[in-house]
Amino acid sequence: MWLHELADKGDIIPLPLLKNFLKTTAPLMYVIVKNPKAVARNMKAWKKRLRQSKPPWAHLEDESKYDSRKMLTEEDYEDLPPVNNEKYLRPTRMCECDSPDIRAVAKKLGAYEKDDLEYAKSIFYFVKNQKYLVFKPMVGALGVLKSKGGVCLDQMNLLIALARAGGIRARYRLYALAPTEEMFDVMIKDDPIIRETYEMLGFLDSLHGCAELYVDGQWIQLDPTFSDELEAGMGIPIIDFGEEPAWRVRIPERDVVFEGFPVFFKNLLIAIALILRDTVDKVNVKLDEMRKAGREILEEIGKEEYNKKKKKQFKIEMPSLEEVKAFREKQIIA
Amino acid sequence: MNYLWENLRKIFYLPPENWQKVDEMVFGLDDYYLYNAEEIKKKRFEAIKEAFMHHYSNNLFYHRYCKDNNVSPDDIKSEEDFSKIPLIPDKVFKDYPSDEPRKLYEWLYRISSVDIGAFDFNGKSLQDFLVWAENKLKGVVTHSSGTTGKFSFMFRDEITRKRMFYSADKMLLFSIYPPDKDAQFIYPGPIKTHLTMGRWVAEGTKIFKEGNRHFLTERPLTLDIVRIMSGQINGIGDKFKLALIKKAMHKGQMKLIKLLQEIDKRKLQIYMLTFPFQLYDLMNLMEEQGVYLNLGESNSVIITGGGWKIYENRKVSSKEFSKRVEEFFGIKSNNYRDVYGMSEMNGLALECEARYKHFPPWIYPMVLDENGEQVDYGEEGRFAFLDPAANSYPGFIITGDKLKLLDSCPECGREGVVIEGEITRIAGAEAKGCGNLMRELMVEELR
Repeated sequence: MWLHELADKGDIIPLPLLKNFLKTTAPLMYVIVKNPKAVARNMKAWKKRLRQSKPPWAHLEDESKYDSRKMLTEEDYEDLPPVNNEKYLRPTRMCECDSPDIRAVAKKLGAYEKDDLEYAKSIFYFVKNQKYLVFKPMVGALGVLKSKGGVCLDQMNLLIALARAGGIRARYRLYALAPTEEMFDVMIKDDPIIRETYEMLGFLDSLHGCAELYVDGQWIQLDPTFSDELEAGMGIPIIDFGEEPAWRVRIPERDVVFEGFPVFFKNLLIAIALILRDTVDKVNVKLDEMRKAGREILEEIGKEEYNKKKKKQFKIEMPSLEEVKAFREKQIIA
Repeated sequence: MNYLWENLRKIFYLPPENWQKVDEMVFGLDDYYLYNAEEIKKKRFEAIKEAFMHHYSNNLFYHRYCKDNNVSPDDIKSEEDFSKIPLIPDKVFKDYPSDEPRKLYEWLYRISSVDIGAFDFNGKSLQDFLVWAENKLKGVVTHSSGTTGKFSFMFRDEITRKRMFYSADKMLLFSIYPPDKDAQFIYPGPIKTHLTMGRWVAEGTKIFKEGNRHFLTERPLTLDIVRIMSGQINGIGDKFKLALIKKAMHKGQMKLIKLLQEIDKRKLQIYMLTFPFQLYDLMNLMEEQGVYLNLGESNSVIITGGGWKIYENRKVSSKEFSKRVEEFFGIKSNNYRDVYGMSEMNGLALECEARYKHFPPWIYPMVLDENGEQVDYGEEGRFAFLDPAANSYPGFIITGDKLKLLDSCPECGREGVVIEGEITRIAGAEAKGCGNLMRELMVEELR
């Protein structure tokens, strides 16, 4: 029980995460050794960073213009929401819900003013559309708030931090997934190291997840990773609050749920950013291009029209057992 | 006709009084490649329309999907309207919520176009559930390799099963070179499995006498083992089972060469169905051991299917491959064929002597562009098809394969739309299929 609590809070690594980490590392190392040329391709990117006295894994883009604190006034920092130390409400590693900046944004977005559901929607759309998917080492909730965005796990950090700052219990859920073609095209197909590692793994385990917010007596799963623009640029449906993203197939019964990130996660992404620096730079450029394309699509036809078409292509609603029984009954009578 | 034809009729034939439109082609045609094209076009239209009506009327999820797309059977007035029929992505068949048998049953119930009855399964394992589901459907239930973490389940009821295996057997056994009464069937893989190819072979070769069919191993390849191979390990017992089957496969490969030598001596005819990479490995092993056979004298036939998968880099053209087959097996090019099939499709596209793969007349194949619009013959794109032979599920499917179609064979003069050139996977579509899994079973021992 005591150990479980430590793992839940991230003070020790939860066993399933450790196992998954080791299972992923071995194929990755094997592929790296097999592809020295692909690793050597990073040389230029590393040198560029060293010339700027930055570590070779650093993300170089100037992100200051995306600092969300710019939307805050001095007034927003007055009467900040309280810091709570209860489970799922307290700060954890990389989830700085006690930070005045986070609490000020929470206040601005309606914490303790709107009802929980409305507030949850506000923070979900804020993270989804004001913060972008950027592949870089993890910076935590506060880091994401101050920058363009971060990886999926970091966007979860911000969403969870805003939820907790607004008095909504929130936790992490990591799961296994297989990317759909659209995601495969962006992330996997062009780099031999990623592609071969993925092929050896077959699917990705515990490298992505969603934020779970406890609203009106139930846990709601939210994935704010892809902005509307990015989803439109990728040609997939734009998801709304509580909907399942269309860029991946979720693999059941492999979820890991916890309150706070364990320490190694941050370092893991540093190692990946180092080994795959060149690829990561290219993926980030590709994401920007897709966002631009998506913006144009949405400006032209609007979200509603776009989604009407896309959701039809992607989502096939499965009726309930009872509905099917009633339908068959009706058919027999007819 | 020999006993094989009699058995084919006995086991898989549907009597004419039970025929639907599609059955006039599946069971009624003497030759799947020589027919009156105009007449068949009409029959195919009627069959597809009838099948569309069946799924629209009996499958709520498809019914709603059609309504969302503003299409009903009344809208299908001619072949030009086929583009209106809503296509289902093949990934739908892996969209089940859980591996737990009851939940899988509920999913099956909801996705089926036929009623599979009540849930009275008492076991716990998914493997046993598949057997139960087969009994319920009087059909065949298969699963994919699950290498992206989830299996795809395909469920054929009695009608679909009969259409599928009647046509496959008729095509593979009776349209290349007719089998003689002592013909031996060889499949270099395990058949005690629900993994697609193995399960198909187990079912389809029931028409052979028990002693005349040979498989690589009698060891079962269960879902648990398949799951371990995709990285989902559930205990040391499963690992042990995997080690045993790998050992058995390797032993089986050596036994297979001996068996082939024995058959060669007795001048018996063989029908061997195999993945191309398996045959490639087998021929390498034969080369190492200096084994060269002359099975061509007995009019033997070798058929490959399932693609090269992770051996893509070693892929050779069908023409070159057939030369190697002739060198090691003594089987002339005409008796070596490659075949194309999809786990969701009830009909195979068999290669002609000129190496074009001909679709059977009831399948309406299409190639789609990135926006899902049908492109012209000769253009490459995503393969989709309308298969009216699917009774238990809507056989109107978009696949993850990329290919090019021609409206007729430029060489052989037989009927049917053909596939020209190589078939590849659309980027991101599940790359590792059941062929790859078989490949992985054998790779360590054979290299």
